[in-house]
Amino acid sequence: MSDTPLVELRDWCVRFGAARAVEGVSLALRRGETLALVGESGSGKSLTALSIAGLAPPAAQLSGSLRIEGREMLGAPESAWRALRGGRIGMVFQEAMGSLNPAMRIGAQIAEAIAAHRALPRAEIARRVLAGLSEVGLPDPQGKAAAFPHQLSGGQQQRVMIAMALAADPALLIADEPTTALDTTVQAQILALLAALQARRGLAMLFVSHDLAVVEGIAQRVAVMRQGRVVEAGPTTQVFAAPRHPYTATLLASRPGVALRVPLADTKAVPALEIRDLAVVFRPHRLGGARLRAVDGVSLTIAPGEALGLVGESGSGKSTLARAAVGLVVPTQGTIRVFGQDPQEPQGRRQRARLIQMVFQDAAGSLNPRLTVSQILAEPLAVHALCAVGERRDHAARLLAEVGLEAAHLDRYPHQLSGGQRQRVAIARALAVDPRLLVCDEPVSALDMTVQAQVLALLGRIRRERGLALLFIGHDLEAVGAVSERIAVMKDGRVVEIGAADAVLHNPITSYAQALVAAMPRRTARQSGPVAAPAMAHD
Amino acid sequence: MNVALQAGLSLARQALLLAGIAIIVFLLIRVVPGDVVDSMALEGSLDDEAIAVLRAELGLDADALTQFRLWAMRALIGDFGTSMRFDRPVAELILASLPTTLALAAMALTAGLALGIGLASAAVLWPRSILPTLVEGLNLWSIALPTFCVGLAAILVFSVWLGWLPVIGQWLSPVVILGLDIGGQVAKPLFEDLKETSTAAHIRTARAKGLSPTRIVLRHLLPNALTTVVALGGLILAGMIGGALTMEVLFGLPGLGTLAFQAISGRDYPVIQAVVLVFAAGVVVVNGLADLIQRTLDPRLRG
Amino acid sequence: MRYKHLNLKHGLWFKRFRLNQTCFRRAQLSTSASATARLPRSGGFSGLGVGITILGIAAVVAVLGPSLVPHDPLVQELAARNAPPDFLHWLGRDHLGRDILARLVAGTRISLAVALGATLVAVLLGAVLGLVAEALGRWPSFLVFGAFDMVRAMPSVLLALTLMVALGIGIWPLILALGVAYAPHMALVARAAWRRESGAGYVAAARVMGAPPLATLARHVLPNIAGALVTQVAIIMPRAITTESVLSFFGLGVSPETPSWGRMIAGATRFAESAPHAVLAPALALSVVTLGFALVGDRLRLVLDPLRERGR
Repeated sequence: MSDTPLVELRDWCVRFGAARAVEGVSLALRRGETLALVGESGSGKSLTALSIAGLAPPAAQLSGSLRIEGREMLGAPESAWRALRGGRIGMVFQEAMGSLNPAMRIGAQIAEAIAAHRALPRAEIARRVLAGLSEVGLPDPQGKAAAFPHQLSGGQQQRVMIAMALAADPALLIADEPTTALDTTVQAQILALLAALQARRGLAMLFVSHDLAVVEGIAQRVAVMRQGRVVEAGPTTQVFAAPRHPYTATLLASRPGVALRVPLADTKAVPALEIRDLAVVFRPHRLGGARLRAVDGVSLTIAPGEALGLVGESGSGKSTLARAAVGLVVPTQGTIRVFGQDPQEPQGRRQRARLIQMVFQDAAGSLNPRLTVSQILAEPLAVHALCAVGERRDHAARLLAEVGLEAAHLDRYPHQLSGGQRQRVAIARALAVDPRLLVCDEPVSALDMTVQAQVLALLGRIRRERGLALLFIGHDLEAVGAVSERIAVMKDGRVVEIGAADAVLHNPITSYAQALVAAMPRRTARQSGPVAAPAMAHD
Repeated sequence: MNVALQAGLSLARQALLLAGIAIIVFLLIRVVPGDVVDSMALEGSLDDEAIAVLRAELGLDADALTQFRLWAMRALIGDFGTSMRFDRPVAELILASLPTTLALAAMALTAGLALGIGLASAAVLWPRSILPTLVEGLNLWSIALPTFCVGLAAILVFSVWLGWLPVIGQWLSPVVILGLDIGGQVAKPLFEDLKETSTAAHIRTARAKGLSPTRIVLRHLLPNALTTVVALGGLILAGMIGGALTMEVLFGLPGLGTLAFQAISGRDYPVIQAVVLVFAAGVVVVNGLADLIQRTLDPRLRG
Repeated sequence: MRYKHLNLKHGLWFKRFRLNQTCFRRAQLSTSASATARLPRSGGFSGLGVGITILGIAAVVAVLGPSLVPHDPLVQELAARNAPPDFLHWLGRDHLGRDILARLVAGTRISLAVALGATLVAVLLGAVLGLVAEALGRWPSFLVFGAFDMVRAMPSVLLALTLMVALGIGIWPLILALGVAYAPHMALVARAAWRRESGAGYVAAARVMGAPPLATLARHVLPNIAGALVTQVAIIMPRAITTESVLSFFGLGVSPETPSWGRMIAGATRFAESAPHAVLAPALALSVVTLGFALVGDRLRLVLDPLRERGR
């Protein structure tokens, strides 16, 4: 019976009333094997994974067949599920911070997972908790066991989650987007840890992700889901090398190439943006406390028509820099010149607005929910009196057409649009005043992969047609490299490396840039062996 | 910041608030046209000379600042002056009334919290039963029915029409009425909070660990939701004061409410001042305690 | 990491603020725009319809007032003291022989007017002052809200009571006292809405586009703050009505002969045994109208309140 699959789904359906979230999925997962479930948001991949652990929402109607270790689990009583969960199936979720009980010490949370499945003396449980914490590479297990979740960094929290999932020694680990919320270097460390643990313990792993590049490095087999169905499944190498389904091909092609770059124009003209010795200091509390130097002495220039990519991990100060450039944050020291003008001058504000515009990461938040698209697009036209009142609607329709939307969208409200459409509206609004420089603060990181590729392509086309300069901020090196001629790397408020995009991506000089590039999940990772695991101690 | 420092800061803040309230109360009562002496003079029992003497005796002829300083310093050592109506020290009157009010508040609060927490927890455990509707109903009850309207109705029904023993009613009715009111206020937000917490990611983790439902509710749900109740504590007490005052008068309980009632109708300002201040101090203290308990319950607030 | 920490603290503060709100309004707390919040509530009972009907009737009675009843609310007929209901006097007479229905109708106007006036005072004093202070910068805001904090530490019933002792009885002192008592709450609501709105992405976008600050205020910020305040009005008005009756009970409301619901209850309490109708009629009216406000306010908040998190 050793070839009985650990998990076998046959014709699995999850419905919410009339809505079908998962439809006719058949999958098998063998012991010691890693299966990746890939798809975009709404594809049903997370729901499939949750229902395998019996954690589908109570409103969900399940049908089909789910066999775990040969036993049919559809309609099984809750007590049977409880024995499986934690005991045979461990789970790791996307948001480690929210997934840990904020009011309970970490050691107690792990001990609880062991005690639920093994009748062991207290001392033995405590020993296993510490052993588990050191197995996932956490320094000072004793200290960590006594800590509360909020005292740990995001990467450490995810390590705790993994230790907790493996505490009762399960045969299957379900990892639902375990690295999506993490910085790139931390993501690489967690992936390496998961691969190592899987090999050592002979675990089976169900790895759910939206990111093909991540999946390729870790899974033997992959199943691509779309709209509740598995459109293609097979060995990873085969699916990646020769996708049979057009959707898989689209997904694979959505990793941006370098085609979006524009040959450089005249670099001797007045720079579009010139930042010199910029520093921005925040005070965390009214009563004082340590001052936070979010941006700490940054100088950079962008030539007209040039695209500069700014990469860095969370807290590196890249967003603050962007907000300072458009005047949302007052710099503590240093100068900013937009086409040679000082935006801080009393008359500079409106002039600068015509030259420099911004696209925000959170498209939904940057559009007023009470206004229709045509009202949103009319606002900049009205502020700068760019056209007569009667023509605003036509103008708005032209802007929409430029970003690939139809005039029918003019009367919709933001919540009636998809994420990608919202970001297109935000781009159209920024273009309304015909700016010369566009600041994009992580414009695609909240979007699905295929939508990301579309929005990036849109930005590339607009740049070409309008001769726009671009300050493109992101944490995804690949996306930033696709649209930028030059890349600046930020860390702790400083620019640690700046240079031509290809040079930074392929021959980084500083050790931090090297670490970033090494951590970048790339489709070439499999040829060059498993993902390198940098030092685990400090994440 | 450590816990002790935070507790100290919180204490200092509460003390500052109390001082501010004392000033406000003092100033408000002082701007009243006419003082005790005037109202006594109106009744014709004093001549001009006696008025002046009495004023000097009570310190009413000094300027506002001096008066406040004197009053505040006396109040600090528990001397709130002398009630003109009862001809007894105000502190004595307050001390005599305080136990009744404290007992009423404690009983009502215990009953209300037990009802609210119990009902909310039960409603979360059995969401398909009648219990969630009961939570809604109790909440509407406490919004729509002012406690003293219910009190009047209870007197009419039980004491007047049914002729039941008023002695039992004297304590039972106010406690039940206030308890229902508090229960309605607690149950709804707690129920909502429990419902929200039960969909939280860490509860999903607890289920993924294979824990039993009872353990999840007791160890993971309730402790996190109890901060809600504690945060509500001070506000519930503040909201209860109006009800408690009228309940005492309606049911003839000799507490602070009855004292305030008599003092207001007799324009006995020292007593009014003292009663208001005692209530305010109670609320400030409870708020401070609630803040402290919350910090111990939620490690994230300890910073 | 430190940013995250700040956000967390702010989030917790916000959560606590919302809890305070909840207790104050004693109404439904909906802390997230989860799917359940957006779905129409199950259960056939339409609270909103009932609430609107109640308030509509109360408003009509208040506007038309004494012309609805053929008796004068002030005329005493001592011979008919505490007379039970009959054909001429549908709800009977009170302890001074006045027609209770006439007084109830006249009292509707007075009680609603007092509540409305008090709420307006609270909005003007609290919301407007709070917003101006917040807009002026850190120090004005610190001072104004420090003062509000102090006033807020005192329960509103006590504050109104003390103010009434100081100001004396009458309609205008009553409106002022209740208004002052609820002003700090309005200020806090307005400030929370202001901070939320001025931190919104679309406000940042408007700044980047060079829109004049006042235009941005009028277009993006104020409409949402107004939504929050309208909701609070529906919550504070019934509280004002109730507090008025408590104050009347202590002899501190409007002048004794003025027919407000609180005064009617307070006056008739002593004769509850012989004339229960004189107590029950105004108490019932008061309860029904508070219920109407509660039902409408609950729904209004779901529709208008920007303090609810928006779905992303």
